[in-house]
Amino acid sequence: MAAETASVGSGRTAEAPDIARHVLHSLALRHGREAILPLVVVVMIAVFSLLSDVFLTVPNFRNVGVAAAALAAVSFGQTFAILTAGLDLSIGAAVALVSVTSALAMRRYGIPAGIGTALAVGCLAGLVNGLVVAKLKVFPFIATLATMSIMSGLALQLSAGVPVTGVPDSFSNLAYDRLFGIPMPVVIALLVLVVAALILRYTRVGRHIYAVGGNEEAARLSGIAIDRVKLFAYVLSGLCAAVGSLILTARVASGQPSLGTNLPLEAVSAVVLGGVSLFGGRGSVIGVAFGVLFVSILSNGLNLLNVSSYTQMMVIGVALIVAVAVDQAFSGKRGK
Amino acid sequence: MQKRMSIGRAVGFVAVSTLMATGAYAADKIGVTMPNIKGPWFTPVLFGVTDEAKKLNYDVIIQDAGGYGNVDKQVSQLSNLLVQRVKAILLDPANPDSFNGVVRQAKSDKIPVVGVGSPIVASNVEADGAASSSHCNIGHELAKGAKTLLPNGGTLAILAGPPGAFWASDRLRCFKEDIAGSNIKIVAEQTSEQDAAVALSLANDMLQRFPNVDLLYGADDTYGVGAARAAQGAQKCGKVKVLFAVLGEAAEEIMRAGCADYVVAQQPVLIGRTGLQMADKLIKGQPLAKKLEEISLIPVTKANLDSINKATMQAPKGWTP
Repeated sequence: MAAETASVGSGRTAEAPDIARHVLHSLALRHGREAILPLVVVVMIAVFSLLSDVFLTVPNFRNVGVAAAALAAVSFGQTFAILTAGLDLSIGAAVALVSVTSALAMRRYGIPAGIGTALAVGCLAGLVNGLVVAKLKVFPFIATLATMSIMSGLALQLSAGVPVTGVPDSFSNLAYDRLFGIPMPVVIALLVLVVAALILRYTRVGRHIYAVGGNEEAARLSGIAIDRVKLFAYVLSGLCAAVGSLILTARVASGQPSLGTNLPLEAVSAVVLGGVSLFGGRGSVIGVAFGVLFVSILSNGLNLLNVSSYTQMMVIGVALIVAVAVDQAFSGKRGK
Repeated sequence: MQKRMSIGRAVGFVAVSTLMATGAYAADKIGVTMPNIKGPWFTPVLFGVTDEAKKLNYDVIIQDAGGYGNVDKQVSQLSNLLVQRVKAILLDPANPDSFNGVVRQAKSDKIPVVGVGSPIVASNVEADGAASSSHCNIGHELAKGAKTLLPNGGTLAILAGPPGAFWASDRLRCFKEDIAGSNIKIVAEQTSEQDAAVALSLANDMLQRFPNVDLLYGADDTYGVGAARAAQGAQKCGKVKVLFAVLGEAAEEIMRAGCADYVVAQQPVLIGRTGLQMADKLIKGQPLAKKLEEISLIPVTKANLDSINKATMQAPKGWTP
């Protein structure tokens, strides 16, 4: 009996560390991916602060914020597309098209007309992408690659290849205005973040977006209108691209037909780095916000250290490969 | 006594070294921002800037936006230079309309902005100084070249430069004004990215479409050399005349090969040097002799290619920014 008691006692004592290990392992699998990036951002800030005496200053962080704002808006939109296991490569071209059309409208009819045109063109671009992906069943990579080419051509055609000037000063000054010390572009990007987070977390369509990306067949069988969800995701992507374009158009005070060339790579990098799975169904815009911070702080820090933009492109490319590899590893461990 | 002096010298050495390491004697910084930093135009400009900076004891921070399409990036880079508390900024804007806000910021931070390779830095904000050739004058000189090469008129195809680049559109505008009413007719005109391979491909297409075209115009030597190589590939050197601005090394080679006929050479090294000298004066609070230093142009043909002074046009062989 004593021996049985002893052996039972030994079994219970052995279970606790095993349970703790199991819990930690599950937590690491579930949240480790999302926890790494904020830590990396903090480390990066520390490193750049040591290497540059102007990095950790308010003016510099304002610059980072303003430079990041358009990328943030575009990345939050991209999140919707990627969560459905899709992709939107046309966001850069959409930014250019919106820039040109809104500048043309603003020049002729005023700022409200320009903003209205921007949002309408962004929605339309998203709608076209959504229809091609959802109704024509074209693979998102190909569909948005094709629409990227169409939108780029259209932007150059409408502007005759030259920047559209004559944007009202009151609009372009927005890029330099501040609200309680925060640059207006940052305020706008934060608003987009809040709206995107609310949609994904607290609305039915947000849950459906995760469901479609997580398991499309299961979502279909449970009665979710897949096509409508995908359409909505791409429309939101287009709308967010329009907001990003307005920020950039204000900053460059003109409609630029080649604006946003680097945005697709940077936005996908930010989204994947931020923990959104390329397979869909997993991730959050809060994580994407950290992804944007990573890309922007990296770019800013390297600029302050005088590293050329060509090298920066390589660094972001490597970071993207690492992020996707980590995403693959975590997806594999979760049996997805 | 000697031991104390040695210790004194050692302490002094360590103190001076420490001061130098902490940057107490660091040179002042000048920021340079360009749409591109490589290529037959930007390389000699940057050589002029950096060589002059060495003589005047400045450190130069060079920012490269990576292309004319990245105007938002160039605006951000200029903002970064302001944060880095540079003493002056040399700027060649991808598009002057986009720089009004950030140049105003520079003015409020009391940081002079000097146009280098561009007579203006922003469309509505005056530069503190500028060293450039007039792009319109380049267009006029190119028109003179066209009339010299085609005294009886002929057909012309235009490689117009990067879309939206004001320097290219200014040159072409003034070129067209001068040839208007002459017997020189434009049969093709296209913009393209500032890339040698793209320019070559574009010129090839033009020669295919118009096999009897008399003259190819290149906005600068990236386009001009592309056009000349296309003529070379089609074995039409000398039959199809090639005319462009900027005499880089590749342009010089292709002219010696007989495939480029007339080049309006700028003096980018001199532009870079002059820009840096203007920035130096502004930093020291000295007045500028002229706010806009217009650097003269030199028409070059095979006849005078060997006699012109290229030290103001080209960086030393192998030099890179």
